[in-house]
Amino acid sequence: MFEAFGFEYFFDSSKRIYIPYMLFSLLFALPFFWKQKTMFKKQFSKEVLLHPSAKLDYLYFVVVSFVKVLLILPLLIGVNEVALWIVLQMQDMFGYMQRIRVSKTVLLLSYTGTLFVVSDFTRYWLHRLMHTVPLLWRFHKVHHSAEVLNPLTFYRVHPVENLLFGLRYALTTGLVTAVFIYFFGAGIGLVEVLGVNVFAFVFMLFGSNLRHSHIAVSYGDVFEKWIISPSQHQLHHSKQYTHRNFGSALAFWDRWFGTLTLSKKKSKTLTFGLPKNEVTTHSLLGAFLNPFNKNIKL
Amino acid sequence: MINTITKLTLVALIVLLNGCGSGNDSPTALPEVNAFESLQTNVLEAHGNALISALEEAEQPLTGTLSQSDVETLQNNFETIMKEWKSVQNAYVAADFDSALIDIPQLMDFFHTGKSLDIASDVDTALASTVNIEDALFKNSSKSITALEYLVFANGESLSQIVTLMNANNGRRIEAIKVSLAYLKVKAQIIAHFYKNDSKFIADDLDAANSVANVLIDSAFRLKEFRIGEPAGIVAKYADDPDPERLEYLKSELSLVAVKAILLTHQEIMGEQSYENFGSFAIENSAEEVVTNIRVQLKLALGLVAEFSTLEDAISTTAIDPKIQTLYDTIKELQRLYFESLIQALNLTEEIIESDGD
Repeated sequence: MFEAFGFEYFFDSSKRIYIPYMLFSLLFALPFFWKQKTMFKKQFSKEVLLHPSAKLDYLYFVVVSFVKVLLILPLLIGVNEVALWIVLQMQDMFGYMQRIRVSKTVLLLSYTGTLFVVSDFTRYWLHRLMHTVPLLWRFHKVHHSAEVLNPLTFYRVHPVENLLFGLRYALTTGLVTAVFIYFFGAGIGLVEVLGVNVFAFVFMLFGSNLRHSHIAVSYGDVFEKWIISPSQHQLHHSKQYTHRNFGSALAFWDRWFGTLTLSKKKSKTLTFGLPKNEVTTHSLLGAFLNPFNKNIKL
Repeated sequence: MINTITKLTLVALIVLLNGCGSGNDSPTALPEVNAFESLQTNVLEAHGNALISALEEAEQPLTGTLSQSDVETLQNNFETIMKEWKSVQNAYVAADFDSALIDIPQLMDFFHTGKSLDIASDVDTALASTVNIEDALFKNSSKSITALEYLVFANGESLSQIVTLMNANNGRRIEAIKVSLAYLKVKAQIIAHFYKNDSKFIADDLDAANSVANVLIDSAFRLKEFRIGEPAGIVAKYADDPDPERLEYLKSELSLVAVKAILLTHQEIMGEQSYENFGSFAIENSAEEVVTNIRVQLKLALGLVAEFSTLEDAISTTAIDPKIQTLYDTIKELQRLYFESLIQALNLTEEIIESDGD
């Protein structure tokens, strides 16, 4: 029961809201504290913590945990099946491949790095499609309807979007794994820290929990062209820049595909939420059902 | 407030760093077992030694003029050599642990190397020349197991014709066979020496498991594609164009024996045996279902093999035994199962949580 409510996420190092990650994020933000005392106060104020939007985040987090386990997981294609299917197709199409021999370290690092980069790339594009395809935007609006941000806002995602991102994960991981097995055989594996891809670990350890917060941490112009800062993601959640900065960890996808906005563009106070012409709801039922039909307005 | 945050984060860091370094060494965390030591002794080293013995035994009757019975013995010895070689070749993990050993199999066997070679013609040229036979057989391919088959069986002539060929030209063909046997023995000794004296294979279970998995997948693929699919015209490249000339041991008509030897080697590695092997190791590591399926598939394949007399009979340019397709499909499924077990070991789980949108 404890697990079904999603509380185990706080103690699971593969989850973004693992308590040590959240606390480390605060430590990471400390240098910015002196400049943004009001923002720190705001993050922990009743105004933010008890905002109707935040209350929906908390409730949504618990309810969607059930939905994921009961409805989404059974629908997902397994990564193993995808990887197996692709590697067999590759053999049929391209024939026999003499295994390339490389050192274990090189192989582990290449696989880990490739998986992280390719995964980030597919996340960028699916995220972008969630914004640009009207039907998908209806589902993604649930996430963008948050008017105050906290780490749980990350989980304020419609189950249909969960499903799409789950399929993306299966296809991406399956593809990368199959290609590596085809060329390098067995012996591939991840370089991990606490059971997490080392690159994903670094990402989660540093800025990831600040992305959905009011604490604006910027990396400066140079770094923000390569890595998405929390501040850049906050811009993405603002009414003004909703359709910019689609990247998760890496910024160069946004830069190469023309959707990057640096945090220096940010005005003093950002207003989070849906763009002006969109209707916002903070009801649980509305969040689940409204996207299915334009006429439903719960 | 800042002091509270600092204290909390320091506590969190301690908790976090205590957990660091416990990363999962994918594909899987494996307990200590001696399965690979057992595999090395009972399969790898055993076949290496048996190959050397077979090569030495084959040298014995090669003195003076050969009788029909001597040639028959030689041909039987070739069959033993070939079977042992197939076992060594299809369980060849040494290359993963010693870079000096990577090319050894390619120096011993020239079946399906991708190179355009006419080994029979090269051997004939060497036999016809007047230079010392060792110098005449200067090419590695002319001393390989592929060449040895030609030397022992010629082009599948009758026994009496081969006896004549052997004794012709002062037994130059017999001398060539001795050169080939000596050449193969040197290579086999290098391999056997590694398995007997080197502990690199058994030093790390994970590395050993990866190596064995690679070898089995590779071997199963080559078996179905090169040894069955291509001659039978099943693979896309030769679709509906069967040609027994593509069989591995057409001259000796031992292609089926080679297939069986390979499958038996897989069974020694994966099947239920009196010693610990990769199959028992995988079962101990939660892969019982896939290992069971692999064992079933191996039995099926061996059962099918038993239904043929020779592949040369089963495959001709005009008629194909329909059971060949079944054999091909069975080995294809075997290879799929090997892949499945490998991918399962990677622990790739469905991830829906952290793949959420941002």
